[in-house]
Amino acid sequence: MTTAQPAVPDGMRADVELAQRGRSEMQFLQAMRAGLKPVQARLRERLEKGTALAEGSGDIERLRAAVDEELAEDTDLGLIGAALRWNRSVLTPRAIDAFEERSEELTAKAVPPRAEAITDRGEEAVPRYWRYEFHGTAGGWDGHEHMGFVHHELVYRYLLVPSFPGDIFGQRAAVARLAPRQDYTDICDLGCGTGQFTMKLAQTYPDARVTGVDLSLSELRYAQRRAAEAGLEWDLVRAPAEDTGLPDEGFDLVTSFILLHEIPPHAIRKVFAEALRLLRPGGDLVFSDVAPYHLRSPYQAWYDDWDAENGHEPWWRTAATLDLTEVAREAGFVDVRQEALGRESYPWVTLARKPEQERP
Amino acid sequence: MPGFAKDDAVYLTRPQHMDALFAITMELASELWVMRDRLTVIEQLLDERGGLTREDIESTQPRGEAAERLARERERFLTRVFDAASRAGEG
Repeated sequence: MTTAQPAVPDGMRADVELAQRGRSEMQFLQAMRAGLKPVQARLRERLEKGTALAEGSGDIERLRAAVDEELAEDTDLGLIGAALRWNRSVLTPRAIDAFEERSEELTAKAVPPRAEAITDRGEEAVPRYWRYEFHGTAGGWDGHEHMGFVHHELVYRYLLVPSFPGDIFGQRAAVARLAPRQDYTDICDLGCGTGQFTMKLAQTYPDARVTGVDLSLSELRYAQRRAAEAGLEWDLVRAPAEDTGLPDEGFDLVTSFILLHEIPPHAIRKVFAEALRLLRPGGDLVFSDVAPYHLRSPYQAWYDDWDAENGHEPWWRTAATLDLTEVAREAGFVDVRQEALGRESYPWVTLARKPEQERP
Repeated sequence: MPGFAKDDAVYLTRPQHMDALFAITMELASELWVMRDRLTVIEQLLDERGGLTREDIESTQPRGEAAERLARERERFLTRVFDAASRAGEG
């Protein structure tokens, strides 16, 4: 494997060109991840030869404790931790610097066509969990006017697409196709960000009116730009997914893609309740998120949990250990089921339906 | 020594100083890579055109074989850095 940039990844602009410093600094960060892989592979090999992973992935605290004990004298985990921490700490600032270095050309490609059309529920609707810089996104998701562009076009292109296994945009398309009906007319995508999953929904259900909800105004602004470039118009709302302010029963499909592991369990329960409120009777819910630990291999469950703890993901463990089928049923959904679409049970999709209205 | 002066000063004694030194090392490695990349671009432009401007350097986007070569060198560089750290202390 090399770290050469692939052809333009799915859904990204072909005409984003950085100056030499910005380009090579972003490529350095990706090469760090690649350079760590042999160290990570050797660590994995040692763990798989040892006894700690025999603890299994059913009880993550016991598994973590067993691995901690086995690695007590091992120095590689500290090295990996320090490298990933530094990498994350500079990622957003480097990407912003790279943007600023080409500010004039890139701003023209980032500005939304009608920013005033985005509904903003205001600061008072913003929950406490949003204040934490999850993913270590220095300055927060609205820390730069064009953070949506910076994240989607630079961070994804240079770091996330080459570093993570599988076709991450293909995964979004596969989840969009999983919704049980073909004739949706009103879709609401919660935690839509720059519209990566929203775009797949819009392409899969071209006749539907699409609404995107997110807490980051700059991500929504770039979502609006991306939609416009594709000849689409989405209703975009800045609000928490658990309190959208959208009308009752306005949708026949409510979705989310990798939203739930960013929020605490009480907010997850509220998101399911909000989805039920937004759906018409008989409407569908499709939420895709991180795989439950108990379905991962012991090594992968251990690494997920270690990486979440060390990578600014405070709610990953709770999301990966919460039974979402129970949450869905408690919220009032029926026909609740779950499906794994890829290796190690990721993407992990929860599907449910709002009951048909009882006839008088 | 008489008076008020340390003879054998040691400052980086806290465990956090290890992380600080690591961060400094990575900053230096990043900067070294930026320079290597820049030099490669300059050499390539000189080979192709015999001369260049500053804007040529900024706007050049390595593609194809040149991009692959840079990527291999980048990965080799960082693999060596982390391999050296990982194997430190081995016989």
